[in-house]
Amino acid sequence: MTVGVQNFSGVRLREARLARGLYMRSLGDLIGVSGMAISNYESGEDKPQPERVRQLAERLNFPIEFFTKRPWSESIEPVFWRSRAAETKHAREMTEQRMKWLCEIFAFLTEEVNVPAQKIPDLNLPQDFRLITAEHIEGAAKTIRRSWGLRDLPIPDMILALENVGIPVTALEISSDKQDGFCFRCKRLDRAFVGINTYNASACRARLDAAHELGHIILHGNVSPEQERDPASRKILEQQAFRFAGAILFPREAFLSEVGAISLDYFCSLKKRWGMSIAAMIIRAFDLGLIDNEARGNMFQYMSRRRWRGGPLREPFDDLSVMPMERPRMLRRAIDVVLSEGIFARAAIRAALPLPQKELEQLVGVTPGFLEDGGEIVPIVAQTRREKPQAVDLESGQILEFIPRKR
Amino acid sequence: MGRQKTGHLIFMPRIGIILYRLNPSRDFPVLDDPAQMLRHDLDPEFIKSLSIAMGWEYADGYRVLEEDEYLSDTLKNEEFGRRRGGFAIRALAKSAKKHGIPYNFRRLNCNGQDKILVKAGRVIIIQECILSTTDHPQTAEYKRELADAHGLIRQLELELGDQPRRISDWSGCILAALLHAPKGPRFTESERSLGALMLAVPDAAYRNWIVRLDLHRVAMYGFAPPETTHAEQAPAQTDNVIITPKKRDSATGTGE
Repeated sequence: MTVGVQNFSGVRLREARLARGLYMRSLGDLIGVSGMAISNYESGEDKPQPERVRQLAERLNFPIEFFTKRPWSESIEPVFWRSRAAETKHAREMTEQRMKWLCEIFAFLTEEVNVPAQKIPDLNLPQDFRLITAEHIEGAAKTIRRSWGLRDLPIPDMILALENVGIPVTALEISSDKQDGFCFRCKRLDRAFVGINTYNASACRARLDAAHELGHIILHGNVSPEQERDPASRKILEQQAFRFAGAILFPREAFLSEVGAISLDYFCSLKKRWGMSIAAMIIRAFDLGLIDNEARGNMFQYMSRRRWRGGPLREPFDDLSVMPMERPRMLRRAIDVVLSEGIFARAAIRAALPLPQKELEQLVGVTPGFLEDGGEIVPIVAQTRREKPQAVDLESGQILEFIPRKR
Repeated sequence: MGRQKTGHLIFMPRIGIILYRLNPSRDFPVLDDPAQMLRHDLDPEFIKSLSIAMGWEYADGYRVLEEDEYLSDTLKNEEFGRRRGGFAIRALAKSAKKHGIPYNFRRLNCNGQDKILVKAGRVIIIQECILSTTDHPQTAEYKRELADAHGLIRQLELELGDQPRRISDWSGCILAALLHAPKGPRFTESERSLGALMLAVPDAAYRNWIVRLDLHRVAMYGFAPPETTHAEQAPAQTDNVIITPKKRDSATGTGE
């Protein structure tokens, strides 16, 4: 009689299968068992034999250790999805597994390093999201910009803005143009996370996604999973988050003073400065009452005629060499510190987080191959800011350099 | 046998004052070019804190008055003008306290006003409200006396009214005034924000500025290097994503 692998985790098998977008029967076909057998493995009614586990790991392209490691115990909801209505459940489940892994990675890293505490301001907004008005949203965005010291100027790096307040961001390449981003709050870690889909995305789109997810975090802290799943409520939630994204990226006062004329060319000239797509600026102009519904439709038609719509990276300056993609840094820096401090070697990180290396590298935002042995050693332990203390003498025009004190 | 003070008087035409230069081989502090004294004696972190605090004091001051529902904009503007000196005093005291720099308040006999004096090394800092960047020093007797202090090596005995005799040793110090002005004349958030900030060293008669360090950039951007084109107008977005390893208790192996 043969005995199955006793510490095999069915939950892990389900995670791996869903992450690869496979049905039970499809996976069964790959390893020569029935869909029912896979179902039994996943529910824990049956344990696969070692050879079968090896086959599963090989076909799903996961390390064997992944299937014997304890899974993340918390179910994550509500998850706010951008473009959720248009996306299939199947595709969403692929991404949901990565959210759990993100929590696992974060929990592992924060055992070893200190990361910025999460400081999300309480803006005293109505508890019921249906009572949140456009003015509430504009006011909330204004207050946050003020607390960040941004005044009415462009935000240089939206992802940095999120990570500065302790919201870890991950940039994933999800091969779906219907998933732009997601955010969720992990109760166990007491932290909100944001994910951005960079697949076929421009820098402006990624910025808008990040701002949109921040909107959910700020405005929708009291939304229940049931409310999030209800299509009518979800529509309101998405509209509010979009309004917030527009308000935080291009505040009302600045929009009114900088947009001289509502035209595509004018928006085009402002795109690089504000890091906001032309389409998003049209919607912003509509939100602020500067154009009506018809004018908005006309502008989108003009965009189509110019071939600025209808596919990814069509707008001017969408080329990533012109406007580079903003990149998250919190998790990457945490990995850097863990390595450079000698807390763990690369192999130890891979052993502690037995995910496919590519997935792991993408989630923490390091370059492909970084976690292979023999990768480059990161020389810097912690980020140091090098500033040159100087001021200009207005009488002589000379630059006076102060002498920094040794502390 | 005790040491004797030796030195010589020098005339600096650009500055138009006479400085008493000590023999550098001695251990006494050397009176130097005021700009050099600022450079050596001012802690850049203190300057940064002070400059940034000034920016926020102006912004907060505006906000407090803006929320006042009983005053007209004209009255709010007048009140803002009256409070400006207080903004600088608060910023000076706050920054000095933060960086362990001694400061004191002195009451003038003539009008009973409290004046702040911050002693950062050999630099005594006071505050002065200005309306435009070309304003000449606003002479006052106590300022003139302070400005004159660096001309001679002595124990200053300024008549500031609060006590019969000064106890602080101001010998070898120079006076610097923190000059500050709002951006424009109207009562709007933009125009009531900090528009000019300078640290200026007056001549002995407190009639002209010898050195004026522009600190407005420091107030807006810290000591970050200047950027070009549109980025010049962009706010300084600090990177606070700082990751540090946890301290471990070697006995228990537990983190903090």
